[in-house]
Amino acid sequence: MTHVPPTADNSDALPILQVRGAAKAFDTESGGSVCAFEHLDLTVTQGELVTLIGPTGCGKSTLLNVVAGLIPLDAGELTLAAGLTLGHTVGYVFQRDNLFPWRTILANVAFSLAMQGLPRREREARARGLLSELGLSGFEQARPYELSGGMRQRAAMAQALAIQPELLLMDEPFGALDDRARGELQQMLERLWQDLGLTVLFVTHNLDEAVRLGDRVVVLSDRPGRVLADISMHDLPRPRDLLDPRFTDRVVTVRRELHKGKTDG
Amino acid sequence: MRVGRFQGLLLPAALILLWQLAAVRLGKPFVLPTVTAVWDELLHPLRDHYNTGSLVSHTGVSVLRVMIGFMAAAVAGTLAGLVMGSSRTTRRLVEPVVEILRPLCPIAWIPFAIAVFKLTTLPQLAGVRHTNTILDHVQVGMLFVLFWGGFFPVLINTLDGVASVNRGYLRLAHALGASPAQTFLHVRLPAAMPMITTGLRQGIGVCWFVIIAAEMLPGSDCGIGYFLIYAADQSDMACVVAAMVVIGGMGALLSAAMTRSMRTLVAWHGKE
Repeated sequence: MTHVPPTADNSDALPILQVRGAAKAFDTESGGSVCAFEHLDLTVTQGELVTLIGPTGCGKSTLLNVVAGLIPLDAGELTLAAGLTLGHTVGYVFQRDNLFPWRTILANVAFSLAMQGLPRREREARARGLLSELGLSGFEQARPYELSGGMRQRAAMAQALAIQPELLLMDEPFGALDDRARGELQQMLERLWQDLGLTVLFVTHNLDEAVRLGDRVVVLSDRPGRVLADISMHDLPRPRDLLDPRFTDRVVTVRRELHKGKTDG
Repeated sequence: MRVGRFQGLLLPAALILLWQLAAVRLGKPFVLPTVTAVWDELLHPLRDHYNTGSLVSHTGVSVLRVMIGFMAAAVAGTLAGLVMGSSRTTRRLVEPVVEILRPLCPIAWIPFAIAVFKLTTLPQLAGVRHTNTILDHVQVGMLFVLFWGGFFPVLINTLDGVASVNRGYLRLAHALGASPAQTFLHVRLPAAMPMITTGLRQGIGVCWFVIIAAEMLPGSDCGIGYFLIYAADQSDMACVVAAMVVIGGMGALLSAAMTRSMRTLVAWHGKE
């Protein structure tokens, strides 16, 4: 028998992503340098849905790109669970340019499977399954520009899920949608996350969205971004009721933290 | 809006009427032919002129020459554009040469083409002396000149198209696990398709200009450009104007056919 050492409260939760003392700066066109974030720590454990909120320009999208491996860190370290790579076990849903306009919706969702060399019949069957899961049955042959914004984002989610990711990165995916479509997509994401056992890192600048979706809400400061607060939402039952006083209390808490970041910085 | 539909025809109709009146009044068909004389030529496109051929046969030769020359330019231009657009090293290496040759008018290649290829035809190049088909009128020198006419518009547009692909689509391909080769084939190429189409349309237009000019030069013995200049030498202005109408119409047709054949590939363009 192996000896299992005593651990903290979450004994089965493995860190899937760990960021320690991370810093990233960009060169500006005028020859200067802008610090996106520094001294940034973040841990995401398996199965969590973590929302990342902060003012525009606080480096939250940059952080997501670093986690995806699209850009390197200047300092600090990033540790992903073994085997996690973008395009294979890490999915990414962008806010814009997230579907190829020359492909049908079906061909967009099946794109990654085609790249993996899956036979047409098999990949289309899987893509159809995902589309029906996201309520897009009947739109297989449509082109992205023929769909509404909400439907495009659903198709983009189906496309990202086709690779069967363990970790899903989402960069303000519902940012351009109206309240109603946004609500529908949040509900859909919550359900998929639970059904598929995903781990999700979700960037948003919308307070309600952050609190509605997150197991934890990580609040970033103004540029250069640092973690101001890491607020657990585990005690808020799902699906969350936006009118529940416990929910609104939590929104106020997060708003206060965000505000602090502004006055300090 | 019944009137509105025909509004566009009003001015052309008035101009044609004015032309007819002026021609009748002037009474010099060797300067300004009447509309009816030109119309008569256009209505009998198979009528032989001066034992050289008809409007249809001359036009056919010109179109065939353009098709073959342009095809070669399109294939070479697209391939070169794809390579130059995706490899910065190749681009740096080749771009100076391109920039030197590109502003050169394709017609300026003609003396060189004649010196090198003489009047060799395409079948002769393949070792066949005479096929007794329309192919005997396809001179390699003309194809050479057409090639330079079509090559650069296709190359430049393809290059720009491939090099300026929306970064978002490349990022998306990466996020969906596409390899660099797959990204090129499935993202860069289709994303560049609207620009490639523009290049092809421009290219075939230039080729059509070039062939008319080339056929007008001494040494030519057929083609709509040849017919135009031959009729002019006979002061047969009705035939000259009829040939001009055919040249204009054919140019528009080639461009439209090109756009149409690529339509399904670029239907998404401008609707992103």
